[in-house]
Amino acid sequence: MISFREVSKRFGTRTVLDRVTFDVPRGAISFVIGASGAGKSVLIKHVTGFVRPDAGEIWLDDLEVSRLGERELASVRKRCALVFQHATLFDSQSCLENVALPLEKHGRGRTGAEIRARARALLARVHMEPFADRYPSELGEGMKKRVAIARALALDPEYVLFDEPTTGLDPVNARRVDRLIQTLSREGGVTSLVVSHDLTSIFGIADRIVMLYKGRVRLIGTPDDFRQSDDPVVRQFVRGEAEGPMDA
Amino acid sequence: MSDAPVVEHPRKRVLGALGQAGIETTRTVGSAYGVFVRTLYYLVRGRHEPGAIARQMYEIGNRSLVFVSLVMGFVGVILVYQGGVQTQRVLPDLSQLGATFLELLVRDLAPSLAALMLATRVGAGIAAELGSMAVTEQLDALRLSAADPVDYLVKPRFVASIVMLFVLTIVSGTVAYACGLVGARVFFDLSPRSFVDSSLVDPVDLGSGLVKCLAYGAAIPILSAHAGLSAKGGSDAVGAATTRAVVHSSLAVIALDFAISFGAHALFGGYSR
Ligand SMILES: Nc1ncnc2c1ncn2[C@@H]1O[C@H](COP(=O)(O)OP(=O)(O)O)[C@@H](O)[C@H]1O
Ligand SMILES: [Mg+2]
Repeated sequence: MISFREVSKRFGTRTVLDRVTFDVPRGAISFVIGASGAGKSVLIKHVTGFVRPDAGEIWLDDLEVSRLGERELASVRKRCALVFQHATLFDSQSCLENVALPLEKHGRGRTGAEIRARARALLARVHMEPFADRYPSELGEGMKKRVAIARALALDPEYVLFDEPTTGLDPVNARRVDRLIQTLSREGGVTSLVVSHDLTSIFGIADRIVMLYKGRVRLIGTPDDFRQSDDPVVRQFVRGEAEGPMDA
Repeated sequence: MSDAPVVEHPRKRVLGALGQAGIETTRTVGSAYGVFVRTLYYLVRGRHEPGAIARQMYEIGNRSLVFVSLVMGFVGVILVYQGGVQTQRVLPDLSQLGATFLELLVRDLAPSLAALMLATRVGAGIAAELGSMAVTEQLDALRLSAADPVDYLVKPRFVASIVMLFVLTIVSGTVAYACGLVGARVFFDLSPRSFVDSSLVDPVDLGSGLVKCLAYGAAIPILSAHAGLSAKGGSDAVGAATTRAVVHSSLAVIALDFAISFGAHALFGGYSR
């Protein structure tokens, strides 16, 4: 379980997160939703220690992540992978090398051949094996994202954080990513925390949804809770309406 | 505490600003030093990838060889001309012109000017590259793969920059000297035979030239990488990091030049004649 307890974060004078508290239960697919700039990316980067809270605690099972040093965070980052909003592949390496990097770094596989075989299998999982020797600059956004997901899965993480995995993808690729997330959690027992504002994904695969608004948790619940909510802010968001109480 | 506005004495404000600048400088030097220590650590313990170093060396050479040669050629001619004119005011004897010029190049000008140019060309390049990786989360992605950006990105640039600064120093010294020789012939009708004279270059000159090379070659990539790695925000942060890299590296070159020249003077009782 991932727990955020009273997490606050400011950049300069701007409060991005204001006493955010919620849990991410094991095995389920949880979504964090909210407008652009609501602080969703900042929130999930707290889990892997890339952002430190000004106040509050973040727990990963029985580890208080917010207290760990860079060295101890390495073990957290092994258990908890993050798929970044941008595909963040290393331009100077082929897809295969990108996926092989975490395997090498964590000594998964004794020989280079063994590591390459594992990396190929991971690429096959996201249907990218035919492109193993291509470089990221030769690929479209959707393909890069899938390679980035393969890299994130390299170390068999228990938790995977997805930052807007379907943004910028065409609808077909977006649904493929949704299905991959679903397979991971239904068959692999992976706990997923997905940041998104893609309504189709949200209502398609979420078990639980947390909505952030103005740095605070606005509503936590199931997709049905969100459909039936009479909070005007929630209603405006889930219906994708231009007019309403939400600030631009 | 009262809420009354605190009226500060102007002098206090100046001192405050100075203090602020001092604190910021100390902080920058401190965290850049951290990058330096980690680079040294990975030199010993990190992965060995000669390919990455070679690629960086090629980049640096490619970026700066023509630029450095061009500038140093002009510098050679200008210095010989100005030096000759000034000397002739005192006494009409230019027999030492070539020897003095060579000594000056070896102990200071060749490494320092090459380093200043490296600071602008290569420092800016390193900061822009690492800075854009920082703002597009590629650095976080590296860390997520348990790869330290210092090992992967800073170390190869560090080694390449030290090696290439030696190469560039030799090239720039040679070009400047050759162009100076032509200048001496044209302006003062000095024969190349009397211009080429290494009698004034002693081991202390050579030593301080080498130490400067090493110090600049280490400082430029570290400060530039530090500027790039600490970029935060959007693409304007990359621009700011680039500027910071050039300013910090150039300042470091001047400061190190001063410190090493002064150190050599203090240790060896001034340069021997
Ligand atoms: N490292 C940083 N320094 C300063 N401001 C930041 C930083 N990271 C994010 N922010 C700001 O925090 C706010 C929330 O950002 P983010 O979490 O990326 O939003 P989103 O919900 O779209 O993912 C934005 O206003 C952004 O500019
Ligand atoms: Mg975001």
